[in-house]
Amino acid sequence: MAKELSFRFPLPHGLHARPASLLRDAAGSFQSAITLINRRNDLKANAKSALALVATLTRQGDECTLLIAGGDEPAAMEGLRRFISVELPLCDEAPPAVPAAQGSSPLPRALRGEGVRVHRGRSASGGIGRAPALLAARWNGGPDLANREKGSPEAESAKLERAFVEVGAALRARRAATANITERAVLNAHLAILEDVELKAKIADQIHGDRAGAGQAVAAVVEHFAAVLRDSGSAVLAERVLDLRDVEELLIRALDPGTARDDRIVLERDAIVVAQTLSPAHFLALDKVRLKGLVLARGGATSHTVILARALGVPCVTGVAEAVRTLRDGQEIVVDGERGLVVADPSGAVSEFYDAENAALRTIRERVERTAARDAATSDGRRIEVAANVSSLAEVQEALVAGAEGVGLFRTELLFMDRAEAPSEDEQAEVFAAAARLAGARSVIIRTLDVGGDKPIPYLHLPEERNPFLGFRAIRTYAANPGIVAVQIRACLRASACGNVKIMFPMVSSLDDVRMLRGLVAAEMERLAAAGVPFDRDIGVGVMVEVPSLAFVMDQVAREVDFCSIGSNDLLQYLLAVDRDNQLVAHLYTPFEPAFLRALAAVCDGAHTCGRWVGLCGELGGDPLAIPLLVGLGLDEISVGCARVSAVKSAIAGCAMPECRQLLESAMRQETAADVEALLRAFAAKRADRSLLAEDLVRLQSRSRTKDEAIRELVGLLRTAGRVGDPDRVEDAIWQREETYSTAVGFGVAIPHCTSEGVLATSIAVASYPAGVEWQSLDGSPVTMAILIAVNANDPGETHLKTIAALSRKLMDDEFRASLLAAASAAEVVALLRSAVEVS
Amino acid sequence: MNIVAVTACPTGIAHTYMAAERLEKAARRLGHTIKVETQGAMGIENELSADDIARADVVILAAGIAVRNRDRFEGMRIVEVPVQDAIKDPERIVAGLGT
Repeated sequence: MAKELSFRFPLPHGLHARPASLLRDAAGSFQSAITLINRRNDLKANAKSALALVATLTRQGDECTLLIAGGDEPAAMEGLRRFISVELPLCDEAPPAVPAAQGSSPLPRALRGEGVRVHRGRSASGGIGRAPALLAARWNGGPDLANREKGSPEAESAKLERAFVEVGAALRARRAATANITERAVLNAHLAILEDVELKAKIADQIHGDRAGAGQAVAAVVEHFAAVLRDSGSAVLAERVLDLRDVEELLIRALDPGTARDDRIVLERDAIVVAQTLSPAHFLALDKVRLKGLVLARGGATSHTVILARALGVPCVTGVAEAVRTLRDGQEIVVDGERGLVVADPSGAVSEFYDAENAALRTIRERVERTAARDAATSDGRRIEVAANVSSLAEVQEALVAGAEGVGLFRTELLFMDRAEAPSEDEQAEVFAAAARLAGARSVIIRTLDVGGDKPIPYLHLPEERNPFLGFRAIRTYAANPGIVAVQIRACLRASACGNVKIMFPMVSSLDDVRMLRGLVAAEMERLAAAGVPFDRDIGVGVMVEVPSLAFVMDQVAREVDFCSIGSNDLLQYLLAVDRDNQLVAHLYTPFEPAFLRALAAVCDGAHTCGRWVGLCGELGGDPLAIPLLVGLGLDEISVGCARVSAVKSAIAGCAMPECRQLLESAMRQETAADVEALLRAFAAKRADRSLLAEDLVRLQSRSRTKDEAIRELVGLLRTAGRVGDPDRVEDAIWQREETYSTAVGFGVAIPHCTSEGVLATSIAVASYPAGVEWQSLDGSPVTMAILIAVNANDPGETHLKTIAALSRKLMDDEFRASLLAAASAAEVVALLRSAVEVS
Repeated sequence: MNIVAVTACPTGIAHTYMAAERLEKAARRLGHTIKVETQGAMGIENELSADDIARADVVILAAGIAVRNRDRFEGMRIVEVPVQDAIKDPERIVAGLGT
């Protein structure tokens, strides 16, 4: 007797690709036939086909029914009910951010000249490329399939089956051959389409029912699904059409290798490919050495082609239908992925502008790479590892590129979410080993499963609790699910043969816990050793310090672990007994509470006394205000989100151990959190003054000949130092100010300045011009020195403004100006400017 | 002579303070007392008190923009100059006030 499960569809973005593939996974784990019926439009779908599910065009609020018929009806009913009520509501993701139309931002001054042909579009991938345009023809479904000779339905089916196997094997081979995670994800998406049960079933229907040839059947069914996606009204779904087309093309080529028209694009020389659209497979087939850029009439931020272009660093501009229509084959063009522009026939000033842009981008890239490659250390040479917190393999790669010196926290929960059963030992070992290989000699700290009743993982059968954070969670559940933790420990051990892997256990609250966990690790080691599986016997085993009890027994705990890492978020919430998600008490959640600082110090001292290293992997590590305190604590490692890695590294570089230790001592003696915060702010303000000026912001003996060049150069200095994010906007603001009246105040000095949102950090840049630059000065004399003051509009910083005011006054002093003009080095200029500010 | 002055400029970052500095120095060199209020990006600093204003013989307003709280100076002798002039040649401005 079939069973029915009715529900209202909960997700705001409807049943798009992600929830559809998760529902498919949930349905796929049962033998019963499972059908989704949308009562609003009466569309039905096999729930084991993601494509068919998407084609029901289910929207939020639609009344839906799942029809379950087969041998395991009760289990399927129970499993799907759980999926619908617990997991489905959580499996939506925010729609990808679509970059705003850039029509509003002004063109760079160099592109405003007469006769410069600029097409505005959207920036889809950064960078600047310059090469002849190559107009690409469009894949149009390939050869004429209708009139193809065809065999019996059985023969056509057999041919098709071979094609499916061949394409599947080819996609898997390419997936295995690429190290690029984005490329792997796209190939996985193509494999998922190829393996969709409904796609295959519909093709078989065409062959047997409608007597279609294999190729014709493929084309008809792909067109059916493509039409549904195109007409879905969802931009995200419409972009999946290109992926369908790629699979279609692969199948048709495999069916008819000889006759399929080959319209792949071959680059014989450097080129920028210009096309209406470009499918991911066609993009991947392009020679990336010769490909200098991509100009697409269509293609949103979520199309796989655009995502790949970003991952492979190919400049790309989309939404330029007009450019695609009017450009000629072979015409020289610039694709400006920074601003979303396509410029035809660049010459003269435009050419010079883009040469300078390319040089600036190169310098910026080199600087970022240099910073990323450098190990973090304080100014007086104490090493502090800056690692990253990650949840997936993709994030490991991202973190290492961002300069992380390892993985300080690999959360494994994501591996367990959105699926019907726990990941296998092989699957986990593969992920951990891949992470270890990516990290090389750097360490990868894997935290074992940290879940409780608050996280819905149905197959773990965790009870709902009134207070899950004080209840049955993390290591406390391991005895109830011994298989799961054993599998995870074995996966970590196996990965330890491939790199520097460490195991870290969450929610440890006593020495008993430590001994129990070490016992588990020892048991799995024996099992692997008996099976002859290689692993590292000296693998580091550590604990997360998040239950406050550990702070009082660190002397005992540290002796029996290899390392510990402070989970500052939970440690703080447990220590202060504050749930920070509870609005009534959230204001009490502050890491600057002196009691918390003393707890941190106790943990660090305890661990160090036993010679163990200690890290920190909570949000506190990314708080710029807190970094000097963390340095003062003597932490060996700080692990933060990928995006914070480089900021934390440079914050550490600005610290010296003695002053940070002193700061910590003084902070621990304060009486309130507000006092601590005030102390930290004063400390930060003192250091901010120093950062207003830097030697790399000074260019003596500049060759700029005009005011235009001089301003571009000064802004360029700030840009390459990472202090200006939007140079076009900053230049505009400076020129706007110059138009009121010249900032050349006489005495050969100009003080161009602006307040702009394009400025990231309030800064001063200086250049001197031996030949003098005409600046419409108040006293008619040419300018021999310019001092650019760029103020961040969002956060000017009061200390900075005071410094600048003091400096402006000082510049009116004849002697001071004379010594500044006579300075022989950038260091001398910086020292003079600094002393001026300190004296006044 | 007792002088009070207010300096201000469009962005309030540099010229306000340069002009203040120049006016202060020039006035002292010429033997006058002066107090200069700056109206810049940090708001009003060195604010002129009612007492300062009552004692003053003359007001210099060196601003490229409207001066805030201008009504304080009602009925007084006011000399208005562009802020850039106060930087370029403050002594001429001060000398031009007479004795």
